[in-house]
Amino acid sequence: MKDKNIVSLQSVSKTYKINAHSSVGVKDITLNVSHGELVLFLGPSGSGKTTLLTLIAGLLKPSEGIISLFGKTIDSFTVSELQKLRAEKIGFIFQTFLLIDSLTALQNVELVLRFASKSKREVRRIAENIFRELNIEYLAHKLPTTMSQGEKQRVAVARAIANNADLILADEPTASLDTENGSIIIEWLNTYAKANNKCVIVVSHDLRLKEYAHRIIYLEDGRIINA
Amino acid sequence: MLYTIKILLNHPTRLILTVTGIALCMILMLFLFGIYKGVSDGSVEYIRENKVDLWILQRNSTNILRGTSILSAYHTGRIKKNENVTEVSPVLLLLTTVKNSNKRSTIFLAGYDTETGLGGPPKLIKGRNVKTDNEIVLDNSFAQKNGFNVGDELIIFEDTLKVCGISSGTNAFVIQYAFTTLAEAQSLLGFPGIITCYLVKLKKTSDIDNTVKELQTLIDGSVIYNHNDFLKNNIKEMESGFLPILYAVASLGAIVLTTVLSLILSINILERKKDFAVMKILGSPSGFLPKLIIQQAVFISLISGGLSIVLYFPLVSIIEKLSPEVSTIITLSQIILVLIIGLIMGVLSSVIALSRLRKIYPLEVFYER
Repeated sequence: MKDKNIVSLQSVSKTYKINAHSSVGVKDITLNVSHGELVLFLGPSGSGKTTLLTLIAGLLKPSEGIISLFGKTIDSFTVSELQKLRAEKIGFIFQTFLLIDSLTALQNVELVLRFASKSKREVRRIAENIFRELNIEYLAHKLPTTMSQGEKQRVAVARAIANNADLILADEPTASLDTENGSIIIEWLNTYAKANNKCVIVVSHDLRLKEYAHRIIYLEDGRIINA
Repeated sequence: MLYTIKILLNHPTRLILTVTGIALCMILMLFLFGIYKGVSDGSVEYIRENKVDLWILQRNSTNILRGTSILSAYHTGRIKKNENVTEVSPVLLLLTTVKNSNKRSTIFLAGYDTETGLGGPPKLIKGRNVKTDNEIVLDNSFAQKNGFNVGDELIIFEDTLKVCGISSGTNAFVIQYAFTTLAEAQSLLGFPGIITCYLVKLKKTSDIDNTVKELQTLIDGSVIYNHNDFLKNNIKEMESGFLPILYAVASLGAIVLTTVLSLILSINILERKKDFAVMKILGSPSGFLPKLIIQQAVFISLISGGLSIVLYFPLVSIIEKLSPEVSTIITLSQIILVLIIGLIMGVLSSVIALSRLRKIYPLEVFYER
């Protein structure tokens, strides 16, 4: 049986210690995100959006509070379990796409499928299916260096959803894109959440994304100011 | 493996330079092994091929390569009288200088008994053996280097000798053997009654231990070795003088190989820092990235190994043509050994480079816009 909440944060704070000084990343965040939701974290630079995203991804440890992923507290995961979780259940989308330049678009997607321990045959089949579904077959054998920004982000989305991820974490996914490409990407993510009953968390300062979100959470100085 | 190859092929010039550099290090190692085998075989070939039962030298002498042995030549008859002895040949070995036009070259001259042939050249590749006092057989590489051929004349001290033959298996790398009659060698030395050693052949049925005891009492101040012990002594002596240098240069080659490869791998890691950070975020299994680096090292080492084998033989033949005294022998086991050393050094260099990988923090990619 699926746990209702994919992500759950209870009184989570993150403080960075730089020399003798402390800097607040996020402060006392409590929230639950469940299946079928596209949650948008909005806030200016330095509001703690990315810190929150990396905490949810298990890349950072909270200074206080409890983070649960898929019904299990993050502390109870070993390093390799967290790696496995990220490979199999979490998809990532970055502002600067972060595709591997020496691999073709198809190989970029195949790489994450390999991380999820899929067999060689499965890897090729799934990757080709994704390209077909997203209608980006023409990009499959292109190198990222030869693609436009919009094309790169399409491939990045393909990579994020390749493993049928239950949770997509998108860090400013439209910031490097024009309005048209930005809309396509966020629509894809919206559809992915709704149609597949998956959870998508987007952090952004792009107000255009508001209309696609099921829930909007405003962050300022590391705190939720209006949920 | 795909990504490994793609990373390396991304900078083809760098890959070519790296592979060439490492191949040269491996060629150096192959060359040193070849020299070692060539020298170790060449240095003792004279002893190995003179298949006698006993070598009699002056007391405390253990070898003829780096030792002095002076015996009286007048024991020949007394040794022959022993019932177990079938043949005996006194041999005088001396370092001397050959004059050719204005050039002087040093040889290790062996004066031997031409009747028995014991102590003479192990193998002739041109001409014939020495018959008279004014004749000499030269080592092939010495002859090549100094432009001597059968029929030529050369001067040692005031004596003019005619080259009657060319021998092989007589190149000890730093010096080459030459052969003449015992009388000629003694005349050149200026002490007719002096020899270096006796080479003795025994009856097949003889009791070697008893014969050694009998001969020992016969020749005061002598030491007697059987053939195998004497051969081992000479190999040991040659190795003690040569091996440390070889090890030092080979180690240097291995260090250079490891350093070059480690540096290139570290540069590759730094250049791919972002890729590796992304892979860590995307959940690459713990061993994936280290495997990638090790694969690069192994890939480079294997290609370099292949290239070194391809280049080794033509390079060595050029060196041997330019310097005939350089004699190398390379065996399959030596080639495999160098390839294994190359692989081990490759893996070691990747281990050094892996420390860079540990310093890549995945979070960096979120903050690098």
